[in-house]
Amino acid sequence: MPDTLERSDPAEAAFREVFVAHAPYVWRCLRRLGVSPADVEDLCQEVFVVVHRKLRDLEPDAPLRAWLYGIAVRKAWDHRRLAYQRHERPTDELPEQPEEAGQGETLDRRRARDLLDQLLDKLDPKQREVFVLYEIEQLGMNEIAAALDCPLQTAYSRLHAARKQMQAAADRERARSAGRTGAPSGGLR
Amino acid sequence: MIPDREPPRLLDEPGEPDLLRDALAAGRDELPSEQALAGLWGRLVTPPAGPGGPGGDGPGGGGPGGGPDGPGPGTSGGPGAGPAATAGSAAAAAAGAATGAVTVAGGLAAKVAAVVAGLGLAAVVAWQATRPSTTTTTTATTTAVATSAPGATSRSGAGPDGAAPGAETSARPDAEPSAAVPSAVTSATARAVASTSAAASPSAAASASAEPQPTELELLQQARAALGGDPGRALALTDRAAALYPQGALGQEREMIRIQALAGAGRRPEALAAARAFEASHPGSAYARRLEQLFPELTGP
Repeated sequence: MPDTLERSDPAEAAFREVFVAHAPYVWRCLRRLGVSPADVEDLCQEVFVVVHRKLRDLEPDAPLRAWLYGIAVRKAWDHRRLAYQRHERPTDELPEQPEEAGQGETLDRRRARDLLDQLLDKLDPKQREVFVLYEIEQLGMNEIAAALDCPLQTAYSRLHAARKQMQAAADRERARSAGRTGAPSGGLR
Repeated sequence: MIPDREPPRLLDEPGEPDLLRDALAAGRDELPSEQALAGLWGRLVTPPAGPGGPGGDGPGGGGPGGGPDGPGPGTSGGPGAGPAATAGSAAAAAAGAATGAVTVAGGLAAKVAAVVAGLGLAAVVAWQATRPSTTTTTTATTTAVATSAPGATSRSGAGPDGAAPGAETSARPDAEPSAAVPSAVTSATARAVASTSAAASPSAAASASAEPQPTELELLQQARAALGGDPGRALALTDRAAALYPQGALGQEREMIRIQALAGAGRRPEALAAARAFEASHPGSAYARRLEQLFPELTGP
């Protein structure tokens, strides 16, 4: 049975486990870091090629998520830089995304996500990384500092700044849409 | 300065629906489809010459990925062009003799191909759809063989970080011809079996189109996602996976999730018993250390 064949290598089993457990989230993280739907699979592949190569050298006690997300963040960073060098916009325009319209995804959902990406696009990239890892991927701040290889305090101040800006941008957006519909949306500045 | 504790996440804050929170939730919920993941897994097994290789129209869309952003020093022509040398000829070369390519690919590609056959039915179906040949059985065999061959060359070219990720693969001591050829054949057989069963079992075949029955990977991903918030659901999902795929390729993963779900559901004695059983039936498993972290009792006397 092929089962026994591939079971015999613990390293491959470990890789498979990491893939099964984390690939969807790495994918999502790359998307929120500004990787376009058209590029995300390629980039995710690059991340896991690195994972495959380096996983067996990872210390058993090393924080896996921090390590993994660190790779993803660096890949996204390189991607952005290369896109910039090619004089492209860092992210593709959202309206033309060819991605599969997730089953049952409502238009509202889609709009909300597009809005999120627009707001994220306005963040400083370093702040965006912390914000995405904390608010969406739900990493701990220690994990984030490890993933980004920055002091914990730096991670905190980036989070703080990102939150402030995101809240302000959301407030503006809310006020705008309230203005459009004429309905007050309460509790705003 | 560093606060004493982490601030609550925006998504966790109670309160009325809020624009930013809705946006975050929508962003959090955007996960790749199972098919996309299976396609990605397929590409990891056989990077450029996989689904998107020859035709450049596979599920990956971008085909031989690395292209735009693969910083592979000086190899940009390699990954895409090399293995694209028609699947047919690659298959012929591989099938014709026990070539070096098959030998080199014997390690990772053949092994993981077996897994893909198990977990990526959708991917296999998708691959077949993108291939010129339409005969199921023939395609299954061809795919496996062609996969092995270019898999080796492409791996070394596709390294985004410069170093060839395939290096350890080609250096595998166990990849001698005598071992590699049977394993290639095995994976071909596995695929053929997978395809046949896909055709024979209506539910599996339909999973490519209507998806009435979740795949093993899908179930386990859902189970894992439920681990934190709803261990009972995680448990139910692993049970379902066990019922649907008793011989699934992800048996160990399934059991690991089940053990954690039991522990999460407050059924620690059962979890511990299951962990012991797991260790006994999978000595030397890659998960042993993880289990020991979860259950310090396991290391005790």
